[in-house]
Amino acid sequence: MANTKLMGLFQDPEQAAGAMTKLKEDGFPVEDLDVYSGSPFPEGSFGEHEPETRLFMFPLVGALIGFAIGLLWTAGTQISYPLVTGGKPLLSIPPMTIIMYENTMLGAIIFTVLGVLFESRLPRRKLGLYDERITEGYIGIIVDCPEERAGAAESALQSAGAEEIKKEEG
Amino acid sequence: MHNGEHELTAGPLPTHQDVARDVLGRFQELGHRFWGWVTVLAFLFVLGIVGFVIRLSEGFSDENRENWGYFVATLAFIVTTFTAMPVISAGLRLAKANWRRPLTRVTENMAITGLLVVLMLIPALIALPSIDGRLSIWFEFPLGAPGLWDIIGYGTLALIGLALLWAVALPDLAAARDHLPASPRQRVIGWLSLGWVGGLRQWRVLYQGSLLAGAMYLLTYPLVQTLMISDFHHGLIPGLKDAIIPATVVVNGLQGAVGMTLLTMYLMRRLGNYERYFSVEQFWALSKPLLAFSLLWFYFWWASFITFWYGRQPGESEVIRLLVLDEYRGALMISFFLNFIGPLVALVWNPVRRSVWGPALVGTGVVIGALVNQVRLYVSAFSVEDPSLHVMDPRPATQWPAPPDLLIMIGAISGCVLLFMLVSKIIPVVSIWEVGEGLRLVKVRRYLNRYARVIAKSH
Repeated sequence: MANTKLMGLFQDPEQAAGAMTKLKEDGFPVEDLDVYSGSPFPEGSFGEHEPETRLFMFPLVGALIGFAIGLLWTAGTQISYPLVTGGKPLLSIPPMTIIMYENTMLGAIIFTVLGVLFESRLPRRKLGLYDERITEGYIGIIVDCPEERAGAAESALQSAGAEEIKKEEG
Repeated sequence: MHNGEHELTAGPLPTHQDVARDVLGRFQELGHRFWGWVTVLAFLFVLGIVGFVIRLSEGFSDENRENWGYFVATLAFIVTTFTAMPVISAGLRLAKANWRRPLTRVTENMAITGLLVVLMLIPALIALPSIDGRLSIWFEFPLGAPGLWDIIGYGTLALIGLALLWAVALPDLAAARDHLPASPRQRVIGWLSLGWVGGLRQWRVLYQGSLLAGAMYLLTYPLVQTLMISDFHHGLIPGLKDAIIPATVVVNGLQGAVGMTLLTMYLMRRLGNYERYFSVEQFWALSKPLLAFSLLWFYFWWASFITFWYGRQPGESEVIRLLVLDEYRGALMISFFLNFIGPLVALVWNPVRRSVWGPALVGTGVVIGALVNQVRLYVSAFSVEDPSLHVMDPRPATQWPAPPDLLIMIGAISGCVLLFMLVSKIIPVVSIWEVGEGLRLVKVRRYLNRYARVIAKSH
């Protein structure tokens, strides 16, 4: 069954919050509702679903890979070209620490950038259901619902005071 | 945006829409004034390249290593001021300081100077003598230390800075994409915005990503300062064994970052009419860490000095004569006054702190002092004849800048300002979304016989 997306556009955050309440009361699952805004609101302001992200895993994995590369690189180099100086141990830990540290940070940031792109679902070639007024402070309430419930969603958005309602076929 | 006055009224605060229209209106302008500044800065930057080419034509060798002293001092100055600025936004965002909102973007846009730093690092590394037979923090990798390791370190900092700048700017790039008239510039901005729409997931990821990238910048900046001072100063001066000098230059970098932020905000008020965003509140708030870093400047310098003073080994005595008592005494005195005495005397007074001109003036002094101090540290090190000795012999004379050195210094600093101006026409110089978010958390309420600003904490 085809899904439809609707966006109600609100200038007043109070009305947007009211629309979210109405939609939930009308049986629209909170996971199918999204809020577009030009700046973030404190979590839970609209009674919205809090999306789960795993961004913190990305720098952790990147840091581990970077650290491992740094360790293999420095230890491998010294073992491959053994230069024993004054009877001291072959592996020189302090310079190895610096190189491992910078490789750790390099791995962490590369994976963080990848994580931001992946978790934000970016880049998007098309904006889809969107309105330019959102970056001016308007709030868009997005409803993803089966086609036969589009009328109910539209009337909920309308009754909450939406300035405009846009529709996109899924 | 804050009204910055101490007498609050119950009048309406500006809205997100007001801020977006105001910032994007200024952002859109590419008038004669902007191009005039760009032309002047580009000309000065080209002069810097001329100075660099002159030095390049004289080549790299142990006999003329002192030719590169001012080049390296300029590189260190950029690392200590311009490139240090994103540390401010990263730290204040982690601390959730509400007053940071109008100034974070200014500091993040300066991350672009990391590219110039990486470019300048290459000739600076070539000018270094071999690490054979002298003190160094490296083991001898067959492909050559410290070149590769330094480039990875500096490159990582530059990459983190650009990642932080881009990630945090995504919503404002989207705002510019949405509201600028169609043009090649608007298309570039649209491409950089990657189709940002501002959904719940995107905001959550942006919030976490900005904290992560900021924390990484905070962790990597000390590494870069450590590499800078170890390879270009400490390892070149016989007899110099200073355990705290990496920490010293990190503190100097934090002081330089605050000083340069104050100076930049002041210039943007005067030349860009950004008074609404950079008000007394931002200057006042930044003057406090500036005072703290100025006290730490002295503390760290003194802790190093007293160790050498009591040590009195022949090598240590020569180091003190070179850097403190004789050849570079003048440079130390200037830096001592501008980085410690001046800020201390001026900023202990609350009326000076609670003004725009006071912190801006002190910040300008701090920046000039930082430049003179880098000359003292790096020009002296590059003029040492034989870094492999245990005691400096002979102690090098004071080296004054030659015309190519002056061209390089002016050109490189102009290059940083030019990069900042150009990037500020791709990424708005005031963070619309962060200011907009802050405005929603602020209400002016009646409190007894006056009005008070109430700031909500959402976490």
